[in-house]
Amino acid sequence: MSKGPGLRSGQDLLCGVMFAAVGAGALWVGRNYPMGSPVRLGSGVFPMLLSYGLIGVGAIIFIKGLLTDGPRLTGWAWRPVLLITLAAVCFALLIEPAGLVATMLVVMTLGALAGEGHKLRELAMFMLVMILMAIGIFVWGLGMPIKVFPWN
Amino acid sequence: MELSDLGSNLALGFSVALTFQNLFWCLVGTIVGTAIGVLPGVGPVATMALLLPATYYLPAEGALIMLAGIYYGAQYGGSTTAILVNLPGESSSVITCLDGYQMARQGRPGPALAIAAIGSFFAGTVATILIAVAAPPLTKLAQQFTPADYCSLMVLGLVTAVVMAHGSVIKAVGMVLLGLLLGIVGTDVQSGALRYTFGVDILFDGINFVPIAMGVFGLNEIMANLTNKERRDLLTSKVSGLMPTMADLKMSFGAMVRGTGLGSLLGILPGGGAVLASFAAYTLEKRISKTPEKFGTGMIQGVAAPESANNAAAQTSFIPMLTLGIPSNAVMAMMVGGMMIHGIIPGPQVMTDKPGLFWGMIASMWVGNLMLVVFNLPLVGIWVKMLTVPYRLLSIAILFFCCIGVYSLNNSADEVLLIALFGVVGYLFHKLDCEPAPMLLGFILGPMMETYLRRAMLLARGDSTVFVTSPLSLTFLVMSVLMLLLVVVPAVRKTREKAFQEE
Repeated sequence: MSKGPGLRSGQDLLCGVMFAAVGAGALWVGRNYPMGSPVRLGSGVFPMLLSYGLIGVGAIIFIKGLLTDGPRLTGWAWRPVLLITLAAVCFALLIEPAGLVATMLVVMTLGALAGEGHKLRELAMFMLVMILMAIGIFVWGLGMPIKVFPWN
Repeated sequence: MELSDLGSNLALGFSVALTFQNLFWCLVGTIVGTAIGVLPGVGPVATMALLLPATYYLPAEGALIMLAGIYYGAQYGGSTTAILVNLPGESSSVITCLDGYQMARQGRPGPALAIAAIGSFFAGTVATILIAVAAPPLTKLAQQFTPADYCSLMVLGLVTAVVMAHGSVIKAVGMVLLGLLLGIVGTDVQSGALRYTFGVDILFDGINFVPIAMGVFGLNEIMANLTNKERRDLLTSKVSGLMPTMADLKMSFGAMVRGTGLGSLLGILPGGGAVLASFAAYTLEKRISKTPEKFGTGMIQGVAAPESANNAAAQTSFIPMLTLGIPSNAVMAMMVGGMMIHGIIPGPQVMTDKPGLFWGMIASMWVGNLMLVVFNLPLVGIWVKMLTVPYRLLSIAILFFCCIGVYSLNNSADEVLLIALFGVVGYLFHKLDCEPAPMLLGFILGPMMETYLRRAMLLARGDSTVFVTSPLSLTFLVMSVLMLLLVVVPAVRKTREKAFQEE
């Protein structure tokens, strides 16, 4: 990513914004949490302290990013990030309705797409071993209440 | 402390550690630890996170013995890859590559591996005794802490974690605060009020430790590693002539002793741990050597010192966790997670309430170290073969085990969605150069710190000066301020940056 001349450290700027935004968000969400009294601190005190702390830290990092040179933002590796995330989401959605084998096929295929240089035969063998191992460990060994096949 | 107490405590420990079942879990832990230590890109934190759900099915002793074995086993395994492939299998073995790989290139991989193992075993033995000696008095001290003292001690722990974290200090502070905030999500134990749950019911009981750890360490590691091209030049698959010569042993003995001492010390400090210890030990050896220019060309001291130091530190870092209940690094946070799964609240009461567990775990460390030194060298061939499993396949296995591990915890598919979320968040941190370990510490300490803060204020009748009027609390706070000042002072900052740059 290219940066304009004014942005000396894109990484620090974004980082500062992130911390400050989380702090501000937490402060706003927790605005009605009771503060209690000094003797009996309410449930709002600790979150408030942390929120202000985060806003302060975010501001410092942001200002540092404005004033000093630092590392720039580098591009995201979207492919592995998206595919790995999607794989975990698919696991969550499929494991109960579709059972272990179908879920594993989907999750591992997505996981394979995230990497590079796979050979089809090697991958197929690997998946077969993994599926047999998973059934052995989790269904038979640990007795987890999951279906093996969709029709079980 | 009475010497006879030490004897009877250790006897109790060994009676627990040497049961068939616990020996088995110790062996499993050390083997798994060595395996992941050998493999670059798979760390002990992620592995322990992966196995946490499985420990639910084990008795508490077996579970903790196994988890501990993974950590120090990884220190052994890491050196194997460092020496044979010039890649750090574990981040604590980065420095071992320098001289270890050179030794292997000169046809002496055997002695390098053997010295690494012997040094680790020596360090492990000393550190085990140190834990056994130091734990009871520290525990006694901890029992006299007031809530204010505890609160300040946690501040000190977090500050040290910040100071010791790689990279930017201020970012580490942010990560700690973020962790503390994540830690208090859910139902407030004192008032029953819901905080930051956004009406999502899986958040009512708070965010579970395992999905966070697996997302930020497990999934994130895959995402980050898959984008780095890796290169593995296996020097030799045959290692012969394992035994070091008498001259080797003589040359490395001093280095082992110094490495063990330095490592033990750095391990106890909160935020310290194996990585820092190995760097410090190597630097020390280089500084006191008569031939510092020869380091990096296959000096055996350059293997012995850091490998002893990282194992010593790995073990002494259990001390603050076992006696005070305060985890000093991410691995110890995992141990706390393991304890909590079994309903054990870490703290000084563990030693008195569960002496079998406490001493059994300590004794098992020595047993585990013995297993490692006995089994490891003959098994080098197998470990080396494991390096031929490409990361592209390994990553798929980790991905699946992360998902099913979290699912098995509560049979909750929603928690698997949480790891997906924390995986992306973890990658964002990675991109912004924010280390996740301080966040994990904050996460563990968040609820504890709030409770102690409230208790301290209640006992002091709302007078917040209690934190500076209690001598212990004041000491901890002054130490925290000093540490932060040290980092801000330019001269110290420069050396610190230099130390971390050598990685």
